[in-house]
Amino acid sequence: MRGVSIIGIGTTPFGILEGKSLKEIATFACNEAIKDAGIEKNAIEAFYLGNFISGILLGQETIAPLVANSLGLPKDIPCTKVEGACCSGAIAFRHGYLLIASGLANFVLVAGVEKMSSSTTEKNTEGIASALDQETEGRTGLTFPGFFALIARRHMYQYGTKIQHLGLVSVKNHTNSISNPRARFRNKTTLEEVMASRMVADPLKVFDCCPISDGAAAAILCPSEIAHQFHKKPIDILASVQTTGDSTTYEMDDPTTLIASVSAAQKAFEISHLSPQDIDVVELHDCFTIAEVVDSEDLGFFAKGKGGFAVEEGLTHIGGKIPINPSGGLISKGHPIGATGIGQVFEVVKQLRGEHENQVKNAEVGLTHNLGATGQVCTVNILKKKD
Amino acid sequence: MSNEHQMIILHCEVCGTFHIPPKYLCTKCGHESLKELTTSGTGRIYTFTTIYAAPESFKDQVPYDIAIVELDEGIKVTARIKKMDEAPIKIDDPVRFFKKDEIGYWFKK
Repeated sequence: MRGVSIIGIGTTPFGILEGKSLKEIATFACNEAIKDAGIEKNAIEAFYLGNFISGILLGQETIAPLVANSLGLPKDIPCTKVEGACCSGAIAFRHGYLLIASGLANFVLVAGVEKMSSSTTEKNTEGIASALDQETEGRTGLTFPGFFALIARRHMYQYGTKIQHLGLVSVKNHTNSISNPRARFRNKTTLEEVMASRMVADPLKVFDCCPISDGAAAAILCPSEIAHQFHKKPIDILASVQTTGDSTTYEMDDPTTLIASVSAAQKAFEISHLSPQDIDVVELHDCFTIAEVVDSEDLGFFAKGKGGFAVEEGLTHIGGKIPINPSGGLISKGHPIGATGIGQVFEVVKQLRGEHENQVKNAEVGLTHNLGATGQVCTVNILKKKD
Repeated sequence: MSNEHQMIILHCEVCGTFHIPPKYLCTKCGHESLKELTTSGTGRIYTFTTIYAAPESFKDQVPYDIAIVELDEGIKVTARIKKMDEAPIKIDDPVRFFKKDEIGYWFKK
């Protein structure tokens, strides 16, 4: 296995991209990544595209070759869509990593895309709920806000986490995205506003939930040994891990811990010979405020049950012990589902290049955490500024 | 499924694990033949939520209560809750199974 680096990144803003199609936004993000890497598109030897529900929402499938042809990529390369619900983008990223690490390719384009805003909220809720097991939990009318609400109630019961702790995650992430031009929301919000917002799945309210968004993000990967030839600030992928968790809530021993996050983080730290203390900046999967609390514990940054208190103490703010989601996260930057995993990589690469609008000082090592469905799929990447 | 008023679970006679149906083999030991057992149908609320924003096919039912119920047998199941009075649902409240339909399991609180 050889080292793999990121030499190019591209993205659309995340939000309501009125009048722009899935194909258009994916094409734009990929083209930006190719230009950032400074390679010819004919050099690309494979393309992986993460997407979750274009079939359900748009009636559009087979989107990897569709986007490849829109870009004008060579015809003699494999173009593959991958799906793992909200984790689809990061799975695409990892497939590109594997292909280069194995020596089978030198330049791979990886991307993620979702177009959601042209469908109603009910249609989106139904589409997203397709990631539940339809033979069991899906048919009960459970939703993803509902799934995380079940976790929230139990977390509060077991550890004394308060609804205000969850609200403070939303306040922090909204504050973080004020300076992020790629974010859907760029206004400050207050705890009072969060607490007074409309109920979605008790105890989670609108401001505890990530917004429906459109967006695409892309990256170009190549072997580390040649990365400097293409970009002056390559970013090394120290670890890229994917794991599997339970498909249903009722089969989890303890739903306040998502086991796929725990195992992905443990493996990533083992592979990279690093520990949570070595990480300077984190973009993790805060699809709901409680998810940020649970993830921050599962990844090893805080003891189980302490994630909510950590937010209250300011430990996850910029300048805190471990800055989490300086981009605004899924809650405030937005969550165009298939794009999110690579959107996180985009944000961390900007941080490690020292070029982020909400820069964590001297960030050298970053972690991304992307979670799919009921924690059924998880990826963790550890990225480092190349020496 | 048999009588809708009885809650059936599956039992692996090789390793002793209980499963909520459908289950096509024992995920713990791989045994392929799982035996149906009638449960007491009683348990407690393990965690719960009330859904206000529903998928398209459920939007006429909002708000509705969903819980994870821990049965006396120790196994958990996701279920809809029918409240028999106005008291809010709490973790550890006792509940009783009363039907299974196209939505799944229903418990009364």
